[in-house]
Amino acid sequence: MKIFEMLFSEEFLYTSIQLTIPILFAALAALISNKAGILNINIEGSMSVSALIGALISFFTQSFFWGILGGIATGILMGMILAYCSHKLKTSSILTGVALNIFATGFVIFLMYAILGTKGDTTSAPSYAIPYIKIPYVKDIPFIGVLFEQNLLFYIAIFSVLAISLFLKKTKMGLLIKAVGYNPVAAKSVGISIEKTQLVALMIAGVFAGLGGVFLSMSYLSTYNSGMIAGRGFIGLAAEAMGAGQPLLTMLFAFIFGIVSAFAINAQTALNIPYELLNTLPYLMTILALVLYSIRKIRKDKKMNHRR
Amino acid sequence: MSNLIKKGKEFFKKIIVSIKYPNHKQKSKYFNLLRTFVAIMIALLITFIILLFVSKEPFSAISTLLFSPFKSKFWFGEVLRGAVPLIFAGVAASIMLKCGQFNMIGEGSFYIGGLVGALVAIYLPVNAFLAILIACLAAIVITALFGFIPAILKAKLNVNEFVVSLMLNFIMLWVGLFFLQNYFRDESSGDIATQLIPNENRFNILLEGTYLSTGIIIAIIVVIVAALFLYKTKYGYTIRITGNNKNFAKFSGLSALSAIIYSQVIGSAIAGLGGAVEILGGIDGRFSWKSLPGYGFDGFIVAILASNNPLLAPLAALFLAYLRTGATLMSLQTDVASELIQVIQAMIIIIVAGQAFMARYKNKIFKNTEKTVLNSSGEVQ
Repeated sequence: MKIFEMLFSEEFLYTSIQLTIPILFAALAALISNKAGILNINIEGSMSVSALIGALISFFTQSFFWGILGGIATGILMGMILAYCSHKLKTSSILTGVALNIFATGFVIFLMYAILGTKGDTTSAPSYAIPYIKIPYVKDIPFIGVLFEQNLLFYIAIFSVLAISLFLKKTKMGLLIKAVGYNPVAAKSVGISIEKTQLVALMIAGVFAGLGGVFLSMSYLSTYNSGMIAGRGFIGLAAEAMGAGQPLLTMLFAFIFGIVSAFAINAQTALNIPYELLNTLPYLMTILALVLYSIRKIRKDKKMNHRR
Repeated sequence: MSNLIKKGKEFFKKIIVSIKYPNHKQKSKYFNLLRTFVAIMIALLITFIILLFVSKEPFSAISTLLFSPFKSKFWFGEVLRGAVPLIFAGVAASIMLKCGQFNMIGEGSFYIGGLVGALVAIYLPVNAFLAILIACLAAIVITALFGFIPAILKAKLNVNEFVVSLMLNFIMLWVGLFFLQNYFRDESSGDIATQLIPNENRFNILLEGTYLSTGIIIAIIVVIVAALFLYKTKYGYTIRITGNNKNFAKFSGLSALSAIIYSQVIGSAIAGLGGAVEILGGIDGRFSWKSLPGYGFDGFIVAILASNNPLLAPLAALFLAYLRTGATLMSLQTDVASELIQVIQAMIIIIVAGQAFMARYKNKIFKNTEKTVLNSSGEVQ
């Protein structure tokens, strides 16, 4: 029964939310890129570089605000590089993504060494932490009160989900992005610039990747280390696929991934399962999610064909 | 007899003509080589500009990076040794990319292959040649099984093999670490590592005064077999056609789905073999990897530089290994971190894989080619 106690504790909900935030940002980045017709593999790399730059700027300016802003700017820049490579050099977006991920793994260590003289993490330059915002009275509600004593970025994430869904439905740019992703040839024929639209989408994706990165290095931990993203960018891709391009559903699946990750961490003490095997859970869950998504899609396609 | 001489003369004439007046295919080969070279030069130029900003001694840093591995036999041996796993990874990635599959499983397969190879060589009660043989075969079989997972998911359910293989890498790492920590750890080593592999169950040193092992011979064999497989067998043909155009392969009665499956299984197995060879020919004499070795991504770089041709993979691998050895020396002798190399690699991939890069010149060259082809054929006859 220990397991139930664990699953329904406030602490567990709290850890789940903490682990959901970076996955949710990654999933939002994947969502907006996907809407514009780009499989954005570079989210992982963007998160990594943003996390480092955000952490360093926050340390040197002693302000979380500039740290977050630096992380966002880095994410946007990475998005622009991806757009440049696939539009001007015509490198396939998957290959560019792979290359930029390789770039990120090397660049973060190169930069850390050039600035701090260390290669492992930024312990010598601890990040200036992003504050927690505790809403009085509401936070004292049992269990769900946890939702109202979260990090600033949690509220930004929730706001982003709503904003993105309004952006895609109500604004001109949002509609353009959807049009380009849905049928680029048709979009081009009515005079929409595919390159410009995709560039904007990738820049917005960069904002989210940057936020996900700085959350990890400036709130979840107070230092940056090179392995800290640990595939969360890719897990975000899977959450987006499960959410079928809908912001609210995507948030739900990001939360499920967060719960699984939290379970992998907490069960090490509550249950007697080796942590190595628990660590595989989020990744197993991702594969399972992709398989379920594909099965559902195949069924849907069959139905459509049947109707015709 | 005179007939033979005539044939010989004709043969040489053909070669001379092909050099003087290369046809379309040959010209495109030369052009690709030139293009790769220019891409590398651009990447190195940008590297130098970065060095100007971060290093106090940019000139000595870049010259160490570019020329130092040639200066001693030991470091040149390190270049050759570094090329061996890159050859395996490159051939594995080439076969998968030829089939149009972006599969990153090389990363996890290297890890599991290395672990399985080490365990067989340590615990199996046979020795020398037989132990190495069984260790390699075991690594191949087990990583082939892992490779089957993304392959079958892609073929049957159209699940994106890229994301699945990346997730699978983490799973393979943690499962491997689980066994290593709980069942096979040598406490006396003071590290998370297996026991020492008996000396006679490891590859011998090939070159005195270096760490280069006979494992490089296996790498060469794999290159040749992979090239024969891709270019001379029905299966290889199916892989190539599927990679070019899946629907065309289907309509011509070739089984595209099975090609998608076996290309990834074979790729994974080659990477697994690479892991076993790397550990059995390694310096440590035991398996002590605690994170993914990075060879899955490296394989992609090698494959792109070699334009997915296994025969060119050793050249590309040597080039990369040379740069990396140079980077190691640079980090030892100057104030620049060796990880700069990954930045260079990323730039090379993006430029080489960019279809628009130097496309203008290509069009110009090939406009003229058609004329020369006509001329040369006119002259010869």
